[in-house]
Amino acid sequence: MAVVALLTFALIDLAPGSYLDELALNPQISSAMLARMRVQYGLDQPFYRKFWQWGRSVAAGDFGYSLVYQRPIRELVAERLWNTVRLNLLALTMAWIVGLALGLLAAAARGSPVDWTITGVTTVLLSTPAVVLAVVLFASAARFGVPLGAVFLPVTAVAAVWLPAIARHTRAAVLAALAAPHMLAARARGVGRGRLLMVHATREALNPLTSLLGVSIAGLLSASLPVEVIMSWPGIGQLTFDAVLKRDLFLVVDLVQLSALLLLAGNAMSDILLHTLDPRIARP
Amino acid sequence: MTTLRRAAWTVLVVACLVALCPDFFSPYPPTRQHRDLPYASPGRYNAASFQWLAHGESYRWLGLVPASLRLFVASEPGGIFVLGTDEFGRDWYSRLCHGASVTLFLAPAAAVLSIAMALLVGAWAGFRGGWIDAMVMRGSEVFVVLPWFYVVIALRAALPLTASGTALLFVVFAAVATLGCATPARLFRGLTRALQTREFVLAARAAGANGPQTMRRHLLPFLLPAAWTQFLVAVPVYIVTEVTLSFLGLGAAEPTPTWGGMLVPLQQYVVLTSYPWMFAPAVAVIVVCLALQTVASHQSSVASRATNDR
Repeated sequence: MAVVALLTFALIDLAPGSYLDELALNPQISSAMLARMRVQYGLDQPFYRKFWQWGRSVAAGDFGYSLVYQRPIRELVAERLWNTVRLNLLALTMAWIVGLALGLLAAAARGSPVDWTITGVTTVLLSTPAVVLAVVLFASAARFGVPLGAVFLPVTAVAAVWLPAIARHTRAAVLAALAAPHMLAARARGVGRGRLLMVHATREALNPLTSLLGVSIAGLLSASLPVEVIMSWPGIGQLTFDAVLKRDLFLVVDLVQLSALLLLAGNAMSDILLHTLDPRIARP
Repeated sequence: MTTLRRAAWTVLVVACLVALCPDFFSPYPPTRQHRDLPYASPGRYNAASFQWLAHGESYRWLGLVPASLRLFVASEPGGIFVLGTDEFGRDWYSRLCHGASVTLFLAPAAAVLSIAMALLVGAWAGFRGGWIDAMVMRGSEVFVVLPWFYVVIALRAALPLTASGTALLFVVFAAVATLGCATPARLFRGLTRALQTREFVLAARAAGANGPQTMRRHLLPFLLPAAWTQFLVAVPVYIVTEVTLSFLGLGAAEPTPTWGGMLVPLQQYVVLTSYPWMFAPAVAVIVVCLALQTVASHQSSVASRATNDR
């Protein structure tokens, strides 16, 4: 985490131009006032002092002050963080439910037109950039009179990024599971086709899928940022984007930190889940 | 070779040709404006005459060789717009061709850079083991944990907003490639470690081969197919990265056409609902990525079969 912080801090610090430079263009703000603001926000300090100060205050729970919004960053982030988490949780749930269903369906009907359709659609979805998807969704929503502010739209856009990968992995995992010798044994014992698929194969397929869950959590924030920006969803992705354009140093650093933290939390969660579902991997 | 794969390769070859000589395939320079024909739908205007393989406006092939031969040209006034025009009356098809040369150069270049770095670092770490291995692995974890899009945006912020579009895009892509090399590096490291336990490596060592020799003669031949697969998988990812960055206004600046930059007009509601031909770059991206995926999935199955057989 410290490395991440140092990297972002250095990057933004090296950037030419700051928020105050833009203020300097405003004729109503005197240069004396600018100088005072520079001192007040500690922007006149050398790089390492700024970093040290920032690190100390973050450790004390103070995330600093946004220059552009003129508000403490903690407040600013708090009201937007939930939006992003909600968007991603909903999207993840949707992607997994639909993806699993499609994957199972395709595996059950292997080689049939249903399988072909599902594979085809997911392949096309897989190569569609999220931004294009968001825009197309927006256009169709406008045409069919769906309210544009609905949660449904960004959730679908983010979910559609992960859905194809999940559906394809499910199909592959279930097919691999069905080919295993103990499946033949189960069939020989007279286990029904439905039960075989839903109980035996699904249990077997869970393991690779849980790893995919970790990966999908890791990629979630990156996937939701463009969607947030396009659909003006008030989350931290949009906030980051704005902060970057406006050169709001502390805000950018805090947000990149926060996103890395969210990612770590997601990864840890999926690792724990994998251990619970499959205790075998605990053995070295 | 199945029909599907043949089609995919055809798409890729055509895309590469267009990207290599965009001027030949397009009737107009990418910035030529037909101010009297904004948002013209695809078609022929003012009875412009059509000529195959004729000499049109001169250009420099690859920026060096002067030429003027074009696949087809249309007489003035009016014109022939295969994919319509945008708000300045620029021929959308010509811009698509020129956009291909930026997007389809940048993405493979980034992929090559990323995979080469990954191969170097991964194979080295796997080969040497010990503390070098441990350090590389911890370092790659930092990269993997970074939400890459946030980092790219932060990086873009570090570069001046007004800098020239294409040069900037190169810097950003070099950074994206560096970030992206972590995952394949871990893969190559794993492969190297697995290969080192095989008998033929042991035999080579016993026969007195030193480190670099073992690496080059015995390990690299096994790593290269995997690298090729990783390359094919990485290219569409970088194409999508370019599209996303440019779409959000962080990529190449106007008037340089890139596929992502050409999607920017879609942010306007009117364009989105009334001018369907403006979706052409999106279709191009999807088709090229589909072709790459088809080739990549076949390649990976071939590679895994080869590794298992030997």
